[in-house]
Amino acid sequence: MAELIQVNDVYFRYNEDAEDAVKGVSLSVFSGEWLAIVGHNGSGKSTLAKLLNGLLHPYAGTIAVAGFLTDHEKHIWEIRRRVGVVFQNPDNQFVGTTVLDDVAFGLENNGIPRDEMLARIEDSLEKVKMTKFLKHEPHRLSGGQKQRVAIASVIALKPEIIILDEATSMLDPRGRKEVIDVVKELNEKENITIISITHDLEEAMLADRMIVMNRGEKVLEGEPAQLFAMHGERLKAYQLDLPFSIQLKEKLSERGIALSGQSLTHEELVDELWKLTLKT
Amino acid sequence: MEINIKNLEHRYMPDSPFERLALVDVTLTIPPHAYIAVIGHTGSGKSTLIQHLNGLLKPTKGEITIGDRTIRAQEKAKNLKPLRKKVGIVFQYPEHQLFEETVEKDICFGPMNFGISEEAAKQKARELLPIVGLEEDVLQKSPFDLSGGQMRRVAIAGVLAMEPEVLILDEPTAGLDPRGRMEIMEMFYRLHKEKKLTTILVTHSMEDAARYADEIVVMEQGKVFMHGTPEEIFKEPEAIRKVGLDIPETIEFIIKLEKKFGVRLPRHAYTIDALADEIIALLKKEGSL
Repeated sequence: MAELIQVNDVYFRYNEDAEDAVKGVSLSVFSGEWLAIVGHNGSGKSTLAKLLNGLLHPYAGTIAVAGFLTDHEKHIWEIRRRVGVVFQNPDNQFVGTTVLDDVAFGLENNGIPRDEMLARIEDSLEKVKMTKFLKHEPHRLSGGQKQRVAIASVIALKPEIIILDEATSMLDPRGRKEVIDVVKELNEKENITIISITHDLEEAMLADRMIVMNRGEKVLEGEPAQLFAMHGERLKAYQLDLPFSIQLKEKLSERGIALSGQSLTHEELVDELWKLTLKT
Repeated sequence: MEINIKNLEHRYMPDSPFERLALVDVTLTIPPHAYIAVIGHTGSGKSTLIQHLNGLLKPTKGEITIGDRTIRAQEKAKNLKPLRKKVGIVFQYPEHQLFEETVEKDICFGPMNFGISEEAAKQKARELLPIVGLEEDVLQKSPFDLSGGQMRRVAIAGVLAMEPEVLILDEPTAGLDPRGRMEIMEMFYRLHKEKKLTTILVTHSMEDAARYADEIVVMEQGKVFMHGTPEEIFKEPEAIRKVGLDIPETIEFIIKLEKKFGVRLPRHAYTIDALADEIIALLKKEGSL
């Protein structure tokens, strides 16, 4: 897979007297992958997200998106065109009075011709399953629906990368599932690279790769299932809650039942437990 | 303090083009010192319901009795101050309501409005800090210099400072990380026990409802859809899913175990520890331990 974003030894602080919010972080994001960046509040994960599309600039180190440097004034629009961001609060990112207007806003700003604009709006609303709501007022939608419209506005601009900055943390379980399902599809079918910034390890479990941040530093990197199995204690020390299946396995092993590290879903766990009864 | 809700109806903006029926014939008794969870989808009427409990909204039909006070439709509700002192509401994102220059002033604002002296209010504020998990040095800071989680704790302290007998919590942990969520929920549970409060928790989280509440009220389209102990409610997972709610993950897991093993299991394991115990008991019964 091609390297799409390169973060090279980046340092950032909000003002000169403040501590570094991001300390010496280097990482790569590969084309087509789903990368989860996880961490507790104040770990620097959201700051990192804002550095990736040039909303913030490091005082040391470099960030390149598709070869364009974020601190280069002429490059910034090239980068923003490629990187779409969906933020945490669904109520803070609407400008239009209808869903249609809202998705059109970004396209108009980019000077997309009207015919193509209409086609793109239809296409992107269909991808997030919100076509029925074209004429609705955004503020009357549920949280999950709002975030899906926000995603539609982003994908209408045909980005290569979508950053979800805690985009599901204010949603109820149903809304969270709606958004995750849409993101999964965009990743698999449209081959859009996903970077999800989250403190929810259950959500991170869906990613191809996971990077763990703590106090501004990158502390772990790898496949989610492997990190959960090998570094459970460390993740807990970083104030992260392990996914349900991992926690249950731990509790069972405390009680003398050792299950394999492989099973991550309910079904797999239930199957393993069932096999225990067959052995005797 | 007992709360009695009888045939409550609420219409927003009656006799206008925007009229909307938000609550339909809700009848509910909340015994004193109970911990009740009100759960439902967005727009199910749960927030409308709780705003009736301290007179922020008035019924368009029916009545509500809170302790010795009854509010009826068609009657002017005068002098609601004593009621509002007894019933404290922690609204969603309560930190948005902070406004004073210092944390101390913000916490003292409520009690002083109810006629408590400045000295007593300041004393109260200092007592509340450790309860909500804040250090004393935040008192003279601006609430707007604090982190989101700290701001929420200040706002909660402001409600607790009025020493309510009934505490209503509207999604008190929305937007917090798992650790923060657990700390806040445990804090409210401690207060519920220690101060013998009546607690009404409005939530999306079946996990929290199951873990803390004596009874769960499921709201759907302005009506009480289900009402019972958590165990009673989780006997009907299909009904719950039908209204777009999830049952706790531990119960989901138990249902899958039941299917695979062809057995019936109790449905009262709401923590992962309790679930692990349940699994061990099952394996023993099956003779594999």
